[in-house]
Amino acid sequence: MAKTILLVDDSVTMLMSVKNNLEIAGFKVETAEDGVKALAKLTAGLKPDLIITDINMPNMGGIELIKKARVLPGFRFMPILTLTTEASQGKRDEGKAAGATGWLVKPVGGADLLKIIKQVLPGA
Amino acid sequence: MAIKTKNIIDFKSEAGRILLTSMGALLLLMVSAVFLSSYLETQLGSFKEVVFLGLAMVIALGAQWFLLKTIQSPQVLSPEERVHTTNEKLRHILNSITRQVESALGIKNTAVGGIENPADMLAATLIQCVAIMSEQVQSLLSALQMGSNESLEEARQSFIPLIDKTAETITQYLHVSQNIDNQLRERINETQQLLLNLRRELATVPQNQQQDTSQLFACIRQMGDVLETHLLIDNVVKKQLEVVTHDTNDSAFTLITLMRDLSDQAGNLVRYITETISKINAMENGVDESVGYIVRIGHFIQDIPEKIQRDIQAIQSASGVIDSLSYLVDSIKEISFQTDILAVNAAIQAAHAGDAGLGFKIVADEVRKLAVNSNKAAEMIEAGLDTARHTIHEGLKFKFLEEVMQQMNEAAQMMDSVKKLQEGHEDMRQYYKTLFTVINQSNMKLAQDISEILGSIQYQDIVRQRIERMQAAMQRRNELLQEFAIQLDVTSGNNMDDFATALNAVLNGYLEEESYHGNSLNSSDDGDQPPKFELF
Repeated sequence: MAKTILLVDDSVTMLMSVKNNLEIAGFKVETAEDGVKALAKLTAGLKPDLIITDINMPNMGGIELIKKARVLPGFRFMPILTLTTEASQGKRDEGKAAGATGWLVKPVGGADLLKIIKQVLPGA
Repeated sequence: MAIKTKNIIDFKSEAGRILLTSMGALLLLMVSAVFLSSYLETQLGSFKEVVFLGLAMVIALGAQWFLLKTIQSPQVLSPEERVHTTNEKLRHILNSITRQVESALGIKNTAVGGIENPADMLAATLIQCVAIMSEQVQSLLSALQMGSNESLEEARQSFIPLIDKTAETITQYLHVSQNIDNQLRERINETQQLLLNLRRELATVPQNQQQDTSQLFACIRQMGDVLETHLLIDNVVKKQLEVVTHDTNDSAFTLITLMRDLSDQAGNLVRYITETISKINAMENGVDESVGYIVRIGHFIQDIPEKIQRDIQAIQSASGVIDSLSYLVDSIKEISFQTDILAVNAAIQAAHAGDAGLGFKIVADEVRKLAVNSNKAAEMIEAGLDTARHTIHEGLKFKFLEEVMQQMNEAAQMMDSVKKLQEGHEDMRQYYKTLFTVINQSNMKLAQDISEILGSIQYQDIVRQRIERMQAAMQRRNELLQEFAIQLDVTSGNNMDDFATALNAVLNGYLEEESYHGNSLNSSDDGDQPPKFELF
């Protein structure tokens, strides 16, 4: 059965780009435009195998989303990757402390993204 | 504030001083001429009047020229007015800079009534273009999955103008970036020129008036600080625009290359599939022919048992007739035997009768011969019937053998047909295998290209964010410059120490924010940057 990935980004281009790449690779992709909408989907019962989130978003950013998702039942060990233009060590440390599994700096090519996903989602 | 008009001949003013000096010089010359007339008469003789008149005319014209020049020269201003004029000039230039920077960056000017932001407009166009392209990619993929040659070609055809559209949009994008860059360079040059002019103007102020213009000096220094910071911001923005241009250029180049490659791949696939379809049609004809053979053989085999059954029935019927004839032969033999006994008895009775029975004896002998002949005939018939029966049985045996042979031949033919059919199917299977391998390879290449295209599209988001950060910094700077211009007007240059600091804070804030984001220009040669991908 196809694994589900929740993709969170406020950029339509990013959502389209990454969603298409993941769908071509056989994943089922759910999208959300910011942290608030993503969290609403998670609390409504969506249980993805992986979350990929941007950091700088309106309403609720990626760091806050990771923190809030981690305390939800069943999300403690779920892989959560960030996909952002933020490249500083400070932000990375902040993301790591919030519970991110990995930090990816845009742009990420299709092949690279799939390679990283395979590392955090064995058997994908 | 209107400039106060002074009297043209003001002896306290510079022009007044020049006029006074000129008139003094003329008087001195005239007095000298009177005293020197006897000397000139001695030296020049009758030319004295001419030379004197000429000299007087030259002096008069010179004085007139000085007078006119003084009248036409700019009005001499007090230090306060000079400060005010400079402030006006500065405010005008700052407003001009602000407007031009706003126009160059496309910041929405609500006072004017809303000028479209070209960067946003282009970003929207690019997003729209990407959306259409994504749909096209999806339809291309659907066409590949459906395996429909027509739909694949249709998707490919609609793909080509889109490549041009994307290239055009990206060229516009680059053009706007370049335009912004050029305008910023012009503003930098203008501000530099402004500083130079101001310094030159300061240098022309007489030393004894510099104390009065100390306020102007302070203002110019502050202005210098502000403009220096302004220049720094412009330089940073210029560098960022170079990054944006570089990223956009790279992304555009990659996108166009990949899309052309994608289109070529799709074209190759379409051609290959078209050729394959014609070959498959030919193969299908061969297979249809083989199937026709098998169907005919099948009918033939189906008919064989029926034919054999009919033959057997006919033979059995003939055999029955022969058997019934055997009963007749037996009857003849029985009659012949009884006739023979009857003839023997008749001969005995004829012998008992003596001479009277001589004639009867002859008849009895003839009857006996007839009986013997009948028996012989019956035996001959029986032998003939036996031969017929034997022939039928043997014939039946032979017929079966022949049928079997026939069957064997037909079976052999059928085997050949089946073999041919198998070979046809094997060829087709191999062909399909090769076809699917090639299609699969093409699909993988297409999928890879599409994936890379989609990856390159991410630059749009990076560029958008970079321009947004730049616009925010420019907005903060413009607000400060506008406030600065108002302060210049209100305070004439007082209490403006904070502006340079505030502008510096804008610059540092922007640089700090920018340092948190990846820089594609530095990424290759800056080894200290954290890795692009990191798993914790």
